[in-house]
Amino acid sequence: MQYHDSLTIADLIRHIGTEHERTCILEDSSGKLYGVVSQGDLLKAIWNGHELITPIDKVINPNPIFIRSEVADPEKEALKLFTKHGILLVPVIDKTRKIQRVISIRKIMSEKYDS
Amino acid sequence: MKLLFVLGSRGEWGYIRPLIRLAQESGHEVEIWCANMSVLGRFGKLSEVITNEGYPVVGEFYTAIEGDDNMALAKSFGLVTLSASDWLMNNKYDWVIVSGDRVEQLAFVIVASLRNLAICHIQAGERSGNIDGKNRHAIARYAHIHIAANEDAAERLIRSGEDADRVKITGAPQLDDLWTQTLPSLHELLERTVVTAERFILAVFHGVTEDLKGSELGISILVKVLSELDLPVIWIGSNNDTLGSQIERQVISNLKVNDRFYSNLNRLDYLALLSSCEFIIGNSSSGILEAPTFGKPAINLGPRQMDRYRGVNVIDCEYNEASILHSINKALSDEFKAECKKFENPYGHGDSSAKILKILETTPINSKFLMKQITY
Repeated sequence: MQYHDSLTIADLIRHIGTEHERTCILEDSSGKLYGVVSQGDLLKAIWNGHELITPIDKVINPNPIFIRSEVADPEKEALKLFTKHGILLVPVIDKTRKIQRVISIRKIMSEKYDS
Repeated sequence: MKLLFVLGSRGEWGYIRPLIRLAQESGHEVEIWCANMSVLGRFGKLSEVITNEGYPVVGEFYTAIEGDDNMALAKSFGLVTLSASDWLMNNKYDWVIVSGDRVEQLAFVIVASLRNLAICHIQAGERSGNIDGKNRHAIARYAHIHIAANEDAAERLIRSGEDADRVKITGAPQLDDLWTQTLPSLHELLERTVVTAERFILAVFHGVTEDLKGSELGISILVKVLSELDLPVIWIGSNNDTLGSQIERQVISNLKVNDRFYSNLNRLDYLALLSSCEFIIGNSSSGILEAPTFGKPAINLGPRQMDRYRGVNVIDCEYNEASILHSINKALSDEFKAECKKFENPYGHGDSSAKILKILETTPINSKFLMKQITY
């Protein structure tokens, strides 16, 4: 999802609701990783008194966990991150921080067990 | 001794907190009089926070007036004098302790002076811009003891007509905790991925409300220069709301893979970063006040810290790419690093509060002391 300063908490809840990934990865207009907001971050924000119309600047984690595109087996790396941190969605970025693709643990699992 | 501390804002709390703790430990009776921003919910209601931490708040006074310009402050001045005179009519103290340069401190000092109480002023003699600078030096006319952070501030007080015997150099008490805190090690910061490499740069840039254009120019040049360097940069968010988020967006959009951005970092982690970085760059006062304690170079950008007395660790630099790059090379050079390591912090050595308390304890308060005369 592309970051814009007009995005609000409501926009992210809507996005997470349609994508079913519990996390929203944000890129800037040039496709670089801008930050990540998880469902938990949104719940915490609401618990702390923020409104649905609050801009997301204060909710974004600008230091998210990512995988470098040079890594030999990004999927394996993603599974490791899932076991260690419970991360379900992780961006793969190149050396300029551009997002190459996004690995979803849910998709890996469903491919594995559906086949 | 019975001591009254006047608290109006968060900044002042940094100055008086270590002294209050020390005075209590030494068996003195301490009271904190809270007014202005310190009692307002939208500024975090500091009076309540410190009460919950066990500090002795004796009264909360609504004295702030809604309004965007200095006339709101002028009216608020009147409310402070009203509340302060009622309070001091009914309560006696050995010392009234004020700090800094805010208008409510000046208002309280005038009332305390009319009540003929001994007044001690912390962070006296420094230069600050606009109305704050005038307040600070007006407070000096009423104070019986001036606590100066360094020789520069002390000299300014003496030259403005204050008796040299009443001017005491103690260092800055808000820096005392730099020496007493145990900081997380670099190893720990790496493990918690607060930093991504052993060598890194610390960058802190605040927008200046009076200089919007300059701030915008400054941050875009700084972001550009730092995004082209090989060393990772740890950015700390700005504290000003409107400009802060603009700056934040620009920084985040230009982060390198190993860079980090923190909008909010606890003080211990921040100090650990400062103690382990290659140098600090930006326009935070931390580079001037705190970096010398850790022997770190500070590249100071633009006019924000113009009036602050600085040591040899500070490299002043304009909003200009070539000038920033030149300063970075200097900060990274072995000679300059060695020079910074040798040099002592002009703002004190961690014992400022102890020195201030000793001064309060040993100064005899008699009519001769309370009768102030300007020296020429």
